[in-house]
Amino acid sequence: MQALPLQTGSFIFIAGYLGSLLIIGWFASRQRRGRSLGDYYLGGRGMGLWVLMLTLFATQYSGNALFGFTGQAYRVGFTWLAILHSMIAVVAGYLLFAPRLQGLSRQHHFVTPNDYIEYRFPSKALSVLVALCLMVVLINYVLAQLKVMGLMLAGLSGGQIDAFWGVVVLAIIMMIYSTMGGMRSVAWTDTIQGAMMLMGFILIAIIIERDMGGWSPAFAQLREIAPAKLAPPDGRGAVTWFSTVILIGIGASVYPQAIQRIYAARSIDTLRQSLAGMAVLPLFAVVVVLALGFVAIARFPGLEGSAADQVMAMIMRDVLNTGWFGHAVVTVLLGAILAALMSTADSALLSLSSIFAKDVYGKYLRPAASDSECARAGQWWAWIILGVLVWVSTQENLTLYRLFVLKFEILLQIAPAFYLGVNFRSLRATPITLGLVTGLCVAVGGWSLGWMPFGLHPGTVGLLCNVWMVVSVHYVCTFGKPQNQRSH
Amino acid sequence: MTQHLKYRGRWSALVLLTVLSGIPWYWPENDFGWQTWLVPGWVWVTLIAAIVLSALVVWGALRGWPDEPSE
Repeated sequence: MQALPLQTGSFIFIAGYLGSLLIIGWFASRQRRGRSLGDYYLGGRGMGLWVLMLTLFATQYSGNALFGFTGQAYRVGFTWLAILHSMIAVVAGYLLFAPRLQGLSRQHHFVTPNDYIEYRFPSKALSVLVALCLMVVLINYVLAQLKVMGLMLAGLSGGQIDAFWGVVVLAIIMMIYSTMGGMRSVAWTDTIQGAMMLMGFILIAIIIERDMGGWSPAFAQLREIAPAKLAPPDGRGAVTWFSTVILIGIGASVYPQAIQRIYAARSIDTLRQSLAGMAVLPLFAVVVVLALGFVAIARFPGLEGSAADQVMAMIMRDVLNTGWFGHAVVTVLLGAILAALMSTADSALLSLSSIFAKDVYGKYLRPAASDSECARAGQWWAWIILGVLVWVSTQENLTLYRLFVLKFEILLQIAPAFYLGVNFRSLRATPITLGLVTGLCVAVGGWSLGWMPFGLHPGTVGLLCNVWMVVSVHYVCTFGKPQNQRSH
Repeated sequence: MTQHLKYRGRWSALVLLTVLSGIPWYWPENDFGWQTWLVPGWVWVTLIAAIVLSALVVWGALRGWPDEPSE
């Protein structure tokens, strides 16, 4: 890959942006009002409408949204519009449990997703299993972001920036500001990063019209060179589309870092209004990213497999050659990509740190530890795990979409504990535990074998088995008992 | 069925129907259908379904469920 001929102004802009994150981190650390885990990991539970909406947006739309979605749109064509429905379905999923969960979190001072699980289903086996699943998912999530950071730095600098050292520098900046202010600095930097990403999406729309000849000529060319990518899906493809909406719509709604933002909302009304905003954003953000992928099919034909993930970088190189405006656009877009990667990775790391601090260290390793000791242990854990992941990110060789899907296969199996737990008060721990184990075996086993019956993702099949097991065991356990003994 | 499940159930059924109507499973294979601005008809149907889905979710979010606590 050839280097992007960036000028000094671009580097100053990027350096200024990274520096501003450190300043925000320092400022957030000055705003801390105590040493409690709730203050550090949930920002004192006082997140307002705009901060909450932009932090949810920045957390939900990762580097994958810019590189992975564009690459997948290039690979499979218009049937990848499934992701548009999926990103709206995520918010629909939230509405089925988040407002009630927020109320419970205020009453019972939840900090981690597992706090709710323990309150609702008092079972040590279930809480350990959920904590393990969440940690695996978060590690996978951070790994995916680091991998894209490495690809981006090495690719765009044409090998001038070493992927490993580039990722190390970004990771250190990210860790410094999140260690200083916890959720407050992560959410505040997410606000800047979310705004930057929105600006990036607007610029992508401008690029398509100004530098790539517009939608219509590209679609006309597309019809000539790759008509299959304009065709509707066949029967199996339609099933995969539906499965994708279930997989991402339900799976992403139980991201641990998103659940912690539900806890951190100032009020239920703030949460609802933020979710309403989140339901509208995909209509713009996802549509322009997909359009870029579609237009790129006509512009750069013939890319196969993971090479398609590079279309964003190829487009940026083309835009750079169009004068000063092109330079300005690419510079802001680079900032937006960095923002997407860092905002997702820092949220996942903070969540990982909180789960270790509260669910592992404070519960099993040192039950007598104070809140500040637990928080410090969580911070150390985050630094160590990030160090290991930076190294692993330069070794792995999976395509971005595959990493993206793996975490949903697991997350989807945790969803019934939240969705059913909040809505069905008579449900007990045994059915949920057995359902989770069944779902995980089917999903992870199916994923490793590349199994997709009728076009359904292994995670979706796992969820069906999971829910079937929950319902069956629940009825067996409560069979013959009077209604009043079934209630929680 | 309790009241809150009834409200969520009806709304979820509407969401599911909208998602299903946005998936072009009913469209003939290898047929782009009519086109507007060179974009195939089935893509427009999918985009309109996405707008309806978004509107349904916004409505659900702002209206809330009658049994839920609010401020």
